[in-house]
Amino acid sequence: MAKRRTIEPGKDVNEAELVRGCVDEDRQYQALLYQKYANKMYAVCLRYCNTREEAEDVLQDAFVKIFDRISSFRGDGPLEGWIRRVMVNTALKSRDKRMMKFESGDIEQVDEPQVDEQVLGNIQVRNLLNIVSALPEGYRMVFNLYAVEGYSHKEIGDILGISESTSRSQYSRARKLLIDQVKRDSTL
Amino acid sequence: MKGDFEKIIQEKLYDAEVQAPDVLGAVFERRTASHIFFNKLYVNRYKIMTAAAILILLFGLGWWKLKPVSTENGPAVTDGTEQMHRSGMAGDPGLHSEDRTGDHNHSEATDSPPAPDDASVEEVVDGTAAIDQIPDVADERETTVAKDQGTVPQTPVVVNNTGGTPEPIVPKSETENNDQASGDLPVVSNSETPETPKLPANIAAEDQGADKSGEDDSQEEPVEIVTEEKPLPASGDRIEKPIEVPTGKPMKWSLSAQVGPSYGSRHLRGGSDAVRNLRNESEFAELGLSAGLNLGYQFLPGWEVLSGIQYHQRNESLRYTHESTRIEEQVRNKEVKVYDPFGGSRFEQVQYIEQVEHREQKVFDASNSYRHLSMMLGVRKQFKVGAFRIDPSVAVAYRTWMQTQAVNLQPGLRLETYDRIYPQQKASSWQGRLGVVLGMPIRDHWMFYLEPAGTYFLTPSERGHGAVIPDQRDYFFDLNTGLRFQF
Repeated sequence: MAKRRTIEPGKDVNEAELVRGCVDEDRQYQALLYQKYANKMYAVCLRYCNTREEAEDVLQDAFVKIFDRISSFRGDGPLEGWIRRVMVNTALKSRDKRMMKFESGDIEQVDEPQVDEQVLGNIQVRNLLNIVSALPEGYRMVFNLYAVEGYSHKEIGDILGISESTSRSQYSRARKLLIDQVKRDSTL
Repeated sequence: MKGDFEKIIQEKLYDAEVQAPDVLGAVFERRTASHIFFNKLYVNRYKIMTAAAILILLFGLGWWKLKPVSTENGPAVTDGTEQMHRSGMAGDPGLHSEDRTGDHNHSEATDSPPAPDDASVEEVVDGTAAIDQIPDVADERETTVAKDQGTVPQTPVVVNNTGGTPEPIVPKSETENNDQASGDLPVVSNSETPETPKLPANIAAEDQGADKSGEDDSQEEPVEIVTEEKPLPASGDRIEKPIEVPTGKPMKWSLSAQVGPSYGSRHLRGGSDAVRNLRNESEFAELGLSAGLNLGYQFLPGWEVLSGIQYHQRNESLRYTHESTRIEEQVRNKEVKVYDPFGGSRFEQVQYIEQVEHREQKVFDASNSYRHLSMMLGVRKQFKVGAFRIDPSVAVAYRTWMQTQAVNLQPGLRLETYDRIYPQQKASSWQGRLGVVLGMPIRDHWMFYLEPAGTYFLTPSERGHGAVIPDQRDYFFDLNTGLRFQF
C-alpha cells in the first residue's frame, strides 16, 4: 500500500521527493509535477504538432506515460530532460513517419542566408514559436531535434528513419525558411 | 558544428513556456485519477479474474446443489419402486428377478403406467391376472415359458436352500456376462442350483390349472410373509438401478474457443462535414480478425449465461489521390525576324510570357488497424434441430483495451496519425453483440460450430474533438469457427 504524504503549502519539494511521490501514485505529487512542467512541455508539444488540439492530446498522453513509467527513471540526469524526451518521443510517435515528406538532400544547392544575430535575438519567443510551427512538417521535426533539442544529424537520422544527409538538407532548408521569415517579420 | 544561430534558437526555445489551457489541468486530473484506478485493476487483474472465476464457480455449484430434484425423474423412480415391490408381493420373485437381469431396459419397467400397479395389489389373489396387467412382465414371462422345456420358466430365479425366499441377485453386469457366455437366460443361485427351481406361486397356480385355483389363498401367504418380514433387502439395490439409467449427467458448463475472419467498418458521427467526407472517401474496409474465449453456464434448461473475452482486429486501407493543376508563367526568349523599310531584315531577340501548366498528383496510401479487446456478458438460447444445434445469443461487451495504428486524412491533406495503445479510460466503450451458433456435436462433450456474429459499438470507439473531429463507431461481421467443450 502506498504511503500517503501531505505536501505542506509553500514547501519546496525536491526532485527526488517528487519522483518518489509519483512512483507511489500520490495524486498531490502528480499534480505538482504536472503544474511544474505542463507549460514548458506544452511549448515542446506545440513545436512538434500541427494543431493545438493535437498538442494537448500529446501532452496528456505523455504525462500518462510519465506517471506510468516514472519508476524507471533512474535519476542519472535531470528529471526535466527525461520528461522532455518522453514528450518528444510521444509527439514523434503521434506523427506517421511514413507520411512525412523528406526531400532528398543536395545541401550544396541550398544557400545558407545569414541573419543578424541582433534581429534573431530581438524576436519574441511567441513569434519564433509561430514561425517554427509554420514550417513544413519534415523540416520542422529535423529543425526542432537539431537546433532545439541538440541531437546530431546521425541521431536524427536514426530517430526519423532517414539518412544523415537527408537530415542535413532538411535542416538547411528549414533554417533558410526560418531566417527568411524572421527577416520579413523584422522589416514589418 | 552548431553555431551562433543554433545557440540563439536553443536559448529562446528550449526553456520556452506557453500557458497550457486551464481546462487541460482539470481534464488531466480526472484522467489521472481514473488511470490510477484502472491501473490498479490492471495490476491486480489475475487476482480479480481468479476471484471472479471462483465466485462464478461457487454460484454455479450452489445453484446446482440447491436446485430441487427434477420432477421428471423423481416420480418415475418412485413408481418403478412401487411396481417392482408389488410384483414381488404378487409372489413372483422369478419374474421379478428376470425383469432385472434380463435384457429388459429398466426404464421400461419404470415407465409402466400406474394403473397396473394398483391392479397388481388388488389382484394378488389371482397372480396371473396381476401379471397380465403389467405388459412388460407378462411378455417376459411368455418368452421365458416358450424357451423352457416345460412349464417352469427358466428365468434368473434366486433360490436359497431354505425355501423360496429370494436372495440378493448378483450384479447386473455378471448376469449380462452370463447371458453372453451361455446364450441362455441366466439362473443365479447363491449356493447351488436346485434341480427344479421352486415355482413362483402365481406361475405354479397357472400351471396347475383352474381346478387348483382354490389354492391361491394358500399360496398368497408366503409371498406376503416374504414381503413383510424380509422386505427384499437386495431389491432395494435393484430398484435403485433405474436411477442409474444412463440419462447422462447434465452438462451445464461449456467452454468455447473460436476464431475467424471479420469484416469490420465504422461510421462517423458529429464533427465537421469536410472531415467526415474526406475520411469516407479515403478509408476502405479490409478483412480483419476475430477471436474469442467464452465460458457458459446453463442456468435454466436451454438457457445459458455467457461470459468471455472477445478480440477484434479491424483493418482498413487509406487510399487517396489528390490531383491539382498549377499554372506557372515563364519568361521565354525567341528570335523574331524584323524587316526594315529598305527591304532588309534582321533577327531580334524578344521576350514573351508563356503559361505552363503543371499537373501534380499526391498519392496517399497506408494501412490502418484498430484492435479491440472486450469482456462479454450475455445470454444464449439452445435449440436442437435433429443432430444439430442452433444457439442464438445476445450480449453486451465492455472494451478494456485498444490499440490504434492509423492515419486519417484531414482537410488540407493533413495527416492525423494515431499510433498508440489507449489508456484504460480512453479505451472504455460498450458494444452490443448478436450471434448464432450453428453447431454439430462431434463427440460426447465436444461440439464444432460456426458462428456468424455482428458487433456494434453502442458508445464511440474513438471519441472526437469538439466540432471538427467526429466520433467513430466501429462494427464487425464475424464468421467464427470454434470448438465447444461441455462439462
